[in-house]
Amino acid sequence: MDLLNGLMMVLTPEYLAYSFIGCLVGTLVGVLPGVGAASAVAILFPFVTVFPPTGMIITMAAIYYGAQYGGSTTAILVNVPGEVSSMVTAMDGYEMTKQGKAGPALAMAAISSFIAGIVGAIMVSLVGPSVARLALLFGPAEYLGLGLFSLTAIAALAGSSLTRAILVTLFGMMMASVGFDDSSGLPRLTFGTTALLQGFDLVPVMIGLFGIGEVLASLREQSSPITTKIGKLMPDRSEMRAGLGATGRATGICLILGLLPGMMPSIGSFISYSIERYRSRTPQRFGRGAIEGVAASEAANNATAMANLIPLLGLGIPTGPTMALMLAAFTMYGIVPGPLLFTQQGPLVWALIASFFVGNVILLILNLPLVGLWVRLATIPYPILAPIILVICLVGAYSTRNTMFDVWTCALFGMLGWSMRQRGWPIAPLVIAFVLGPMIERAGRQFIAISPDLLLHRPAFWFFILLGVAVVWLSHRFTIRGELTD
Amino acid sequence: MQDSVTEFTATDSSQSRYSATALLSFIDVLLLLLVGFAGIADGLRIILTKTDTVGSASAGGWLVLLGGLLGIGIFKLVRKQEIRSEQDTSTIDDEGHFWLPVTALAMLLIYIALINPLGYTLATLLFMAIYLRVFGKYGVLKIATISIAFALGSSWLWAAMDMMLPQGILPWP
Repeated sequence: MDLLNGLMMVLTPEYLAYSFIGCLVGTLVGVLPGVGAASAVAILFPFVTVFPPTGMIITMAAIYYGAQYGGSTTAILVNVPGEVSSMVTAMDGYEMTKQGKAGPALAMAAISSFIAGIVGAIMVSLVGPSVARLALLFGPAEYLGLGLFSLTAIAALAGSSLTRAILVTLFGMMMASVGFDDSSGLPRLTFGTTALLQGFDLVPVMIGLFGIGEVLASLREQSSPITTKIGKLMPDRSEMRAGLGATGRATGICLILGLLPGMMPSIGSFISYSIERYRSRTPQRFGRGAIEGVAASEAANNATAMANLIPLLGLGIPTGPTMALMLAAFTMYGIVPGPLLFTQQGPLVWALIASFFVGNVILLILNLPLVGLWVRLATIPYPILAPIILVICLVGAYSTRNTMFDVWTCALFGMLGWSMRQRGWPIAPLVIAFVLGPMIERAGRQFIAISPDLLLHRPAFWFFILLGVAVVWLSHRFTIRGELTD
Repeated sequence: MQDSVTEFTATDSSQSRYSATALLSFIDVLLLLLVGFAGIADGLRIILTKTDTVGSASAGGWLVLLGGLLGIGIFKLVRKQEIRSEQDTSTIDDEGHFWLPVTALAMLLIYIALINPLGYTLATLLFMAIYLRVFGKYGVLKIATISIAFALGSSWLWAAMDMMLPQGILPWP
């Protein structure tokens, strides 16, 4: 019933327009080389703050999955992945294009994304409220355990070295401590300067790390000329059967994996692709134009993106950088994601969930007819594109609080983001630590003030700690670490 | 003979590359150490000097804990010799890949410094023009067209979105 109400709300012209704008702009930014989904949301975040709360959240979500969608189009046609998860799509998608099968590859990518998106939206609507009800039982000890588990999981999954990921996590927590301490009101790490008293805001930090950092890291990349013809669009019956099978498996796996903090769409894509290749009778076809590869990758990144929303909406825990920005969008309007979100902000949440259904339909309609336009955009020379993105990044950073301090913060973190990419330091743990650091500190200080012995009597805390250890062990065991970060 | 000459040259250049890589690795560790040290120092300052404030011990203790853990992590990293990564060598190997972003970053910093005194429109126009000249190697007419169109167009757009940007010496729009 709630979902139906949400659907009725989203189908009004105003909210349809928000969904459409988000999908269009997200796809537009997603096709640009060197601008991934996280960067797209970070760069465009300040500009959608002019919308009312529900409109803004719907637009941001649409930008997120629109950017993921857009990344796959250019990955298939010109081998220019807009983001990391599209790299997996490019492996087989571009090979299909070279074989004259660009149409079926694009159609399968669209169909797989659509199916995974719709199934994911159904799962969010079914599981989200239950997770929120469960979280009502959580106290400081459970939130401390959950926060530590999230940081451990993201550190284990996001880098080639656990030590490096942990160091980045600690660095992020330290950066989050700059400014006034909420509990005591004392300034920390400000060194007597007034500028640092306000602390670092998440938006300039994210724009810097992802927007500026990615542009600087992509400066050498050149656009490829368009030399492809799309040809017939729909896959034949055998291709469709193979693709749909892969879509089903990838969706199922990634809807579960996506609940884990640190399990970003790119990791889901790599895992699903590997599973498809492993179970195939002809694994040698993978990397040479196997339609299952395209389907698995696209379904996986959409399913993971949808599943990522469940911990955010139900627990208030972001699973990746984009979710951290979604959290910032909620808090900007005084809305706190977590246990009470479904009861206190029911219309907003259900409108958001309903917008996923509408958004996926819009993307399906929008993407295939506009393929030519997206490809042309992807081949805009980078020397023209880069300064435009850089200026937009700085304007976005400035507009969050109208202060030049945020612009300098953005540039500083941009430099840091580029340097970290170049030198193999994972970025995702920094962002998540920056967001979760204050929550972990608050929970830790609360239960220490009550009684540290309390921890012994909170099994949920130990459950999360054990879960964290298990994720570290599993990530080590299956070596799904490395270059699998957003 | 030819092989040995080639080998000697390669060793010589790899030595200089190694020293540059080592320097960059040193910067990583130095930055993290500095942050860790700052955390411990500020945490201790709060604990020792703000004794009359409720919650000062835990506020400072948190920084000391983070700083201490950073120190332990750096020690472990150095011991495991994980400072250098595969990406390090690629950074130094490809000089273009290293200097292009550095140049862009320098231009970006100068642009930020100029936004307040010159205003958004003029600073953006200059930034775009110089960037396109340095990186795009386009002709004057194309550079002027793109720079002016973007600077004026974006100024108008931000104003239409009620964004208040520094106006400097050219208060437009």
